[in-house]
Formats: sequence, C-alpha cells, structure tokens
Amino acid sequence: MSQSSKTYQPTPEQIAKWKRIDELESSCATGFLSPEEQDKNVEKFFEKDYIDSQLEKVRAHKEKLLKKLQSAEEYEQLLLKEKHNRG
Amino acid sequence: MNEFRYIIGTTSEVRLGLVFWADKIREYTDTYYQGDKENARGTDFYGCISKLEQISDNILDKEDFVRSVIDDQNLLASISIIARTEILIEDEFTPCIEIENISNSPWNNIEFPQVEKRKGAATSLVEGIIRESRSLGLSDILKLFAVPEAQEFYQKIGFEETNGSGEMILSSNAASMFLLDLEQKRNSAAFD
Repeated sequence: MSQSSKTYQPTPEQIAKWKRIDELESSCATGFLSPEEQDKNVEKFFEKDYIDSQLEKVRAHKEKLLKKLQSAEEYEQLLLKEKHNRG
Repeated sequence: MNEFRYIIGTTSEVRLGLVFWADKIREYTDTYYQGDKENARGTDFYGCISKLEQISDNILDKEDFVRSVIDDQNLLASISIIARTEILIEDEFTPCIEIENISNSPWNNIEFPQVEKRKGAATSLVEGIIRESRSLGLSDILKLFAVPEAQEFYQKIGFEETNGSGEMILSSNAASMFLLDLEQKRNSAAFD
C-alpha cells in the first residue's frame, strides 16, 4: 500500500494501544506450564543437538505410522477375502 | 506496519524455520548468557526455549494443526498449535478454536536488539487464525490459556478472562473489532 493511500487517522488512544500491543508481544505464551515443566523442556532442549533430537522423534513417528499402515493393509486384505468368499 | 504470510500446516518452510530457531537459541545463549541457560532463567527468551521444545515434541502428531506466520525476510516469525474444541456459553456448548501453544521467534523474544526482529508476528498469527476460520464458515471464537505475563497482551486485542484460571476467550464480536482495528492500523501511516 502506498503512503498516499493510508488515509485513516487513528485516535491518540488507538496509537497508544497499538504501541502497547507491540511492546507486550514478546510475552505472548499460551498453555499452562509449571516452572518445573518449563525447566525440564529447557533442559531437554540443551541435552542434544536439535537436528539429532528431531531425527530421533521423526524415526519413532515413522515406525508408529508404518505399524498403522501395516494394520490397515491387513484389514483391507481381510475384508477383500471376506467379500470374495461371499461371492 | 509489518506484514506476514500466514501458513496452514507443517510445511518444509516451517520445519526449516524451527531448525533455524534452534540454531539462534544456541547462538543467543552463547552471546548474551555466557553459554549458560541458567543466566536466561525468568526471561521471555527462556520461555521461548521451553515453547520450542514443547512444540517440537507435538508437531509430528499435530502437523495439520500447526499455524504460523512468515515475515518479509522469509523467516518463521511466530508459530502455534491449534485445536478445535467447545466452550460453554449460556448453558450451550459452542464450537471454538483453542490456541494451545504459541511462540514468537527467538529474535522477537530476546530483549537485545536483533536485525531480524519484526513486531506484530503474534498479532498477525491470531488474525490469520480468525480469518481462516471465517473463510471455512467455522466458529471464530478463540480460546486460550494465557500465562500471567501474557494476559495483558491478549486483553489488549480483545480477549476476556473467564474464571481466573488464565482461560481467555475472544468472542465473535471482539474478533470483528480486532480485525477492524487491524484494518485501521494498516490504513494509517502511524506505524510506517
């Protein structure tokens, strides 16, 4: 948007509010975490290299998904066999 | 006023953005806290480290529920995990979106000046969540649990505390007011 198209004249209260929102934004965390849980998270973060830690997580996740896929395939085959048996 | 690009889901850009956050956290810890996380305790930056770990733990199971914003430098500026839930309004369960976790980038959290810093990321992320929800014809009521230090921020954008537990709600009307306010901010030269 070009400078000239900005025609809205904010009130002093609006300008003060917008400034305050910008100031406060760095403290915008949501979700309750006790100080102990927060410390534990920070501890965990520094325990390992981030990429190594994520690789470990993604491999465990992949393993879980492969098991689910295998189970879905088994079920599919079972249903196909049953359908075939019923002619 | 800074503008951000809203991202739905866990794209490669978001994943690489989190890897970059992790690198920056280590760099800032070395530069500003003598390489010791204990020196950062009690700061917004310390909270950001905890949030990154928490989000990274959940991101694989909740990848469809990740929402984020990218800034004009193509850097991940803020990220959240949302959930569809319900709240009780006048004895009726009403659908709403819960912002379970939200975090700004390390450079937007750290108190020391950084060239990457861009104001408005979290505000823009909340705006994106409301607009997405409206475009899908879903409820635009938002719910979150704000830590005490965060409550004033959410109050200023229209959330109201419900029961003293930190639970805060942005009603549909308040969401409209918030969007109008942002439009007015965009159409004024006050923050250029």
